[in-house]
Amino acid sequence: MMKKRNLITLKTKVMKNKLYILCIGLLIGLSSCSDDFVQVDPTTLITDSQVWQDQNLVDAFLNNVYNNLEFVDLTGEQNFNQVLIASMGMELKVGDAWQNPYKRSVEIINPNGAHRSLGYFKWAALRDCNLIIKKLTIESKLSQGFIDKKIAEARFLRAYIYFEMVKRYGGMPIITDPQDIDTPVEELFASRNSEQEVYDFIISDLEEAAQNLSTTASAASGRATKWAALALLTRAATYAGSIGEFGDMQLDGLLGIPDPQPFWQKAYDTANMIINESGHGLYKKHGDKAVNFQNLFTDEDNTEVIFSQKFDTDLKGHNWSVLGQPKGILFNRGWCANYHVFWDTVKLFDFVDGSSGAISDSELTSRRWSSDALFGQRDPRFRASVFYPEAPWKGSLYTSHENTTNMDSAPEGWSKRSEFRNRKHTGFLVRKRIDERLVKPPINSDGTDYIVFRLGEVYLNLAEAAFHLNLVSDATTAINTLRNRAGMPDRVGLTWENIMQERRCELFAEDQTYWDLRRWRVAEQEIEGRQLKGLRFYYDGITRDYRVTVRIPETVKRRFQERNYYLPIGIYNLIDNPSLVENPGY
Amino acid sequence: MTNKLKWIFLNKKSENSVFSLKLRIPSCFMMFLFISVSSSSLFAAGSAENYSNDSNSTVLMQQTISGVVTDNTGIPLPGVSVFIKGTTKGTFTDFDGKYTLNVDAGQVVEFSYIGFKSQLVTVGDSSTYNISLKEDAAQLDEVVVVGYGSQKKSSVTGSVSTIQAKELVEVPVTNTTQLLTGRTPGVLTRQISSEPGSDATAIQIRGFGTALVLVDGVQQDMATVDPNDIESISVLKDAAAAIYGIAAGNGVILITTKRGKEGKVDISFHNNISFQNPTRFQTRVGALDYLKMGVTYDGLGGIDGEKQLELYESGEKTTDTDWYRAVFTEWTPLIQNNLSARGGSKDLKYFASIGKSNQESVYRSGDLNFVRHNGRINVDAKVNDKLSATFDMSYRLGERKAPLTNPSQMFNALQNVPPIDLGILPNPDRTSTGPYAETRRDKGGFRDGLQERTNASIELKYDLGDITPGLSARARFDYYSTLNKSKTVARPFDRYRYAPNEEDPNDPIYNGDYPYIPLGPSNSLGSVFESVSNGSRERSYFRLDYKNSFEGHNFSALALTEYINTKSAFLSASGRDLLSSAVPFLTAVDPSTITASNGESASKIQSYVGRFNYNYKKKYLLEASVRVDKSWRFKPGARTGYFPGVSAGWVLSKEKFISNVNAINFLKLRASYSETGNDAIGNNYAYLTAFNILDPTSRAGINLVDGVTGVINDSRLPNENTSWLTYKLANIGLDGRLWKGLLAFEFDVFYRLEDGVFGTANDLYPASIGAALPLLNITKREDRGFEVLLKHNNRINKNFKYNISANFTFAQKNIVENAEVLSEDPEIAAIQQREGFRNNRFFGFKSDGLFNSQEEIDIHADQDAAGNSTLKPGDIKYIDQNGDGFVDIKDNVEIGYGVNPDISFGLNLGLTYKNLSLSALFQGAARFSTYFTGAAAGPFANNTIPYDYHLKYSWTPSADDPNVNINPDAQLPYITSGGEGLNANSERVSDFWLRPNDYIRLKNLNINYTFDKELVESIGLRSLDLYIAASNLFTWDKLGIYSDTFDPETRSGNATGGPVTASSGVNTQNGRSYPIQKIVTLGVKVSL
Repeated sequence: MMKKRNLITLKTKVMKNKLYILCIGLLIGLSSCSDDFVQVDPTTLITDSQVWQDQNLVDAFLNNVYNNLEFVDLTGEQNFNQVLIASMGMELKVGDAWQNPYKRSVEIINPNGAHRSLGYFKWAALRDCNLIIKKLTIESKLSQGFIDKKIAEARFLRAYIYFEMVKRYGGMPIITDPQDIDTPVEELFASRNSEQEVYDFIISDLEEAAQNLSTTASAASGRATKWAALALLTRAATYAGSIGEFGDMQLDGLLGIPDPQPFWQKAYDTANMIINESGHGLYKKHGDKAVNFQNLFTDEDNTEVIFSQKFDTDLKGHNWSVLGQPKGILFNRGWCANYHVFWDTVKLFDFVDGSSGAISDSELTSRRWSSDALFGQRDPRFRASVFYPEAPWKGSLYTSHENTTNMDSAPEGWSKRSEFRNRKHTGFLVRKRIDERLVKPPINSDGTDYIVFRLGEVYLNLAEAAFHLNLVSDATTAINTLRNRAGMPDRVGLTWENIMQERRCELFAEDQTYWDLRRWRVAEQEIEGRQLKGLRFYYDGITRDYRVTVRIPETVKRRFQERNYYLPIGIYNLIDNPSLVENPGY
Repeated sequence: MTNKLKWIFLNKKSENSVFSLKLRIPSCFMMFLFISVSSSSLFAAGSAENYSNDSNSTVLMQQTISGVVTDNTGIPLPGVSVFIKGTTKGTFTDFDGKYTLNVDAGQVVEFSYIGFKSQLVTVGDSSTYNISLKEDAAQLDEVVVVGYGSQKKSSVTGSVSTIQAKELVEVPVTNTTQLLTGRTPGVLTRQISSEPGSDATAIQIRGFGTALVLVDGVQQDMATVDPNDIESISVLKDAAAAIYGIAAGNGVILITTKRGKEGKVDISFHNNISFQNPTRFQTRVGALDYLKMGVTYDGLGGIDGEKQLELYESGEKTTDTDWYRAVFTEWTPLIQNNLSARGGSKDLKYFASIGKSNQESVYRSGDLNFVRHNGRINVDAKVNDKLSATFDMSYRLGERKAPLTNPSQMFNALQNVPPIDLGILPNPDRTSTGPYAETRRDKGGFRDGLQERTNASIELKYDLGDITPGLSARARFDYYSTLNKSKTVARPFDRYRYAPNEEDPNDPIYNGDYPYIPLGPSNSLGSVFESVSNGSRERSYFRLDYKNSFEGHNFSALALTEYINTKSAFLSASGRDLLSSAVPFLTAVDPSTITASNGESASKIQSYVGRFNYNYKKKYLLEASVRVDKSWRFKPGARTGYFPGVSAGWVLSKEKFISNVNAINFLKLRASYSETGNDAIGNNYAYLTAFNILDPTSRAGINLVDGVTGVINDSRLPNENTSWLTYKLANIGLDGRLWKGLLAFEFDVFYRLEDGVFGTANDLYPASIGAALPLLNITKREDRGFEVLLKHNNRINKNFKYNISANFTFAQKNIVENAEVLSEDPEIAAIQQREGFRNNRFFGFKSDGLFNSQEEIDIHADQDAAGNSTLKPGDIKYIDQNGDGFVDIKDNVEIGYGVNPDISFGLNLGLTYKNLSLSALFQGAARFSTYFTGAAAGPFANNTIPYDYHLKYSWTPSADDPNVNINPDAQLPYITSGGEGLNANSERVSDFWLRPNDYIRLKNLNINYTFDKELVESIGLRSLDLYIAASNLFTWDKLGIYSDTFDPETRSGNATGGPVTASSGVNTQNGRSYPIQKIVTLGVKVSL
């Protein structure tokens, strides 16, 4: 009772006397009853409706896809994943055993899946492409020309994603709509399309893209052009053709290409179109063939480059030249000389007189060799692509000898022993793409663009396709065009082996060989059980030549089993989407 | 004193115009405060005279009385206040309970002492009055700070633990967050690092998650409070926290700072100097062992091991650097000072304090340190009979100076530098590569940080007693601001290796500079990065309190409306190519390289709070509260959360059937239930379809494709229905005091259900959806546990008393519901399933030691998917759990606990003998584990130097037969060749590298000497204490062979591991963590 009375008293008295105190409270309280009182408008977010009505925002969104595609893989500690494919393709070996490409090469493919840096599931980027295509088609009120161009770019990028997937896994689910949480379950948990369907899809996307993309023959923009789309098309068609040619049909048709002919034809026609119509031409700026080939990769935006990923020293650099260049010549940082080229790879490069570069071990060790005899007379592309003993570099010489006898008679400035890092494994280092102009580059400061497509490859695609279409003379012309440019004598009586060798030399260390060996279905015999070789050089100061011995820097045998022609989908992905079927053998 | 304070504050302001601009509002407060403090000190100085026990002042009819004050058992009570009633004249008893006082005949003297009933004596003819005070159970009842108020401990119905100031200040801590460790049940702590400035201890109440910390009601970082300023800490663990609604679901820590007291001004000075030393030193092999192992295992990188070995074996070279000790020094100082003044009159009371601490690091270079300045002024003013006001202001400045390389990178360098290199080169102008240079600001550059935390509060209280007695109204406004600045400068410097006897002198590479081999510059381009971020939190509330009682019914009620508004922003800029490394300014970089980034955010929360307390004769207790919160984070219309709490208590000892039991002095049964909420969903605007602008200074945020360079991406898919995470928490407790305090206990059992934990339904959607899935309230978790506190206080005689207090907490989190889709394969499903299991677990293979022979490998299940062809003796053997002949993903099982301990306990001991007191705190934790990785697991990984334990415990092949082990102590796999580190077999996630972190340590030890009052007063002081204290003196742990090298509380990281499904993750140790320090302190406390 008392409590009640008190409350009543309180009420009346407050109303009368102390109204103002409660007024404050009520003001705070009542004025703020609605949810709007705590509304905070986003300060850094952009809304869905804004993005699709603004050209710059659409471009900024598309930029995210360009960024995420990893035309070159720059992940991994110290970015060492960038040589993973080259390492898998037996071209080179990284400097230290802990470094990813080496360490993972044994366990990189197992039933749990391929190692992250070898696998490729760019679902987010794919969704972004699909989103751009859908939103610009349905919602955007921007100019039709802009819309068509951006959709074309998205199609190019989507085709690129699917190509990266199909070359690893074979057929994968084709998803063309941006999915949402209310997308029907059967659509969400998509099953795999066949390898043929994926290649067809890639080609149709690219053909459509090519119609609306810029036809300018400049790669300076880093943006997809018509010719970039077509370059991807010829590459994809060449891959599909070779799988049809050499591969088997498996998994009820999910894997394999039943008929290679249409793909070879597509590759052939498209390659011809690029060569004849694009305005791109082979890089021939320098008279010296080796210098010319070397500069092809560092002379940005030259006419041969069809599409490249852009880098910039200040804004966005990479580490290729930092990690790759030899130690000791104007450069002494701990991290360098990391890409050691195998002797087996060196042997692929013939001599300029046309004789075979494959010197046998017995011949190699039975006599002394001058640098010129063993290396200097090889394919200029070799001299441009590989550091070999006495290769000129920054006004000095790269060396990798273990020791020097008769040191007193050695040339002036000759060191008794080369830098350990330079001779650690094979005696050779990768030179391709390393910029001689970069003196003491700090980490992530190599601004050299990474070439994704260049005309040289288009000639190789043309040659391969023509050869399988029985147009051997066209194939020969294409191969000889490249050999001419390289400073090598013409091929006569072109063989399939010649084409494969040409491709491995021309595209050495361009992240292609591993995939080529797979699609040609020669990886099993080329890789399985191999332990690749390096050389040791012992210099003589008087005779100024080398005694050479063979070493095996690889401690484990390389493995490539039949099942490895396709990567495993992996147990995590199978659990994630039970509609997926694992590839055979895993 | 106040002038000095004022000067410091004003000076800070003038030095920093940004600060003063930002803090216009608090500046006004400050001015107000300074005025009021100045005047109060004048007033206090005047009133102090009243307190002086000056025998020279002649008063008519004065006489001197004296005597001894004891308790009812006859033991003298020191510090009893003996005052003439109605005056401010009086004294205190000395250590032996004796007092002397000049009084006038007929005056009434009041003897009062905390915990005892006051006694009044009218002075008559006698000059000796020996007094025996009686214990007052009601007074023993401490006042406990609870949400929006305080309560008598005996009336508290929730689970609340408190720590009083006196327990805290004499403990050497480098960070206030370390104070709670081991002191109170229900608090799980973990000190991960002792790096100056980054040494906060992680605190979780009952393992719930991050607790809300309120300092005098204002949410802020606990580390900003000087321990000397703390009056008490309350930990609210159940419905007691519910009144804070939002974000209070993980419990609340209330820190109350000291306030003014009526009486003589008390000026205290507390100074201590500490010396810090790592609890564990990392020990690596010496030069000779290093070379021998390195040659054997080809792990020396570019070093010509055989030649080096020759040099060492012939004695030509003897350099053997223990780099850990070369870089680190021992017993580095930490100096802490605090000066405070406390006093006031009836109308104006104040507490003011300034403090400073200067902490050095273990770096020998002396270039990593942390300096803290703090100040606080708390003022209570009575304006008139009805209106009173409080003004609080606090400020803390933390400045970290550090070399460019962070400790993790420095430890990385330390792991890679061979003992054959000389640590500090003979020519000081030459700097070696490696860790020593990495610890120097003058070489590589620096990474400095500054943090300012400022709080200003004003509260007005108006007594509405004339409306109805017991009614009052209050309005409060708090402004808390933060400012963080950082500056990072990288400078190029030339590095050298000192290598006499090592290289061929004919080699032109170091002609002329012999014996220094230039290693090139560390950084070719100088760079500068600067950032400033600031934040503010404004809180205002208006409240009505009502209190009334009649006929044994006691009521109180609270109604409150509160509004919290926060804002934060940052701006950073960086550039490269310094004009010269001598000018590390942003203005001196190449302008074309300057890039900038910024961001801002804000939040708003509005709340209504109501609380009602009722008790009948303090026997039946009831509290009910409700809080309504509206959060900006949710979609309009879905913003409101209702959070009720109710708790009840029954003081059994007031019932006849118990009050007759002599042994039981107090017994209370408590029960509570509450619901609280959380809006921290980890993604603001989860309800919007939105796009983010990526940071243009990051690689991902810039695109070089011709045209637009900016990059945006789509944030996660929206979910408009995302709503409050709610916590339902029940607690039952029993408190008791037996045998007059010889034994006191508190026992609590709790259960909490977290409903609607934010998560993404990854299992429900395939990865091919390609989008970040929306945040849904999908997971349900529960926490169960109990906690116990036991106390024993005893006084043996007048000289000797002691107390023991022990606490134990067990808390376990389980996953009740989880949106998970399990594999059809039952073995995989068993690994995937989280629902129905503990959260704190970690998956991997179970190992069974090492293979000791090829035969063992041949008969073992296939564990490398290659018929064991890649295995060698000395490799780790994994158990084929399901016996299918393959060790694969299906053989993964739970192998250990996760990141945070489930069990924590503490044991406090206190002894007082005469003037000497000793206290010790043992503390421990259990059920969490560490995974050893990187250089801590395998030596020669990327040329890392082996630890001692690698040499001692690795499986070592015989020179004759590589399949035979010659090390009888072998516990670790064979060392791999060529710098591979752990081989692929050893790298599998298994229990082989997992160790329990369980530990017990002597967390604190303190020996204090209080000087006799006479002695102290004779030199003009009021009190003087000297103490010696220590932290982390001894530790017992289960780390096994790693125990000599690593402290069980540290970690270098946190990995979510285990296949298929993420578990709660596990602590990792790769040897790159800043070591935990043991600290020895000498301290003095003086009071004037």
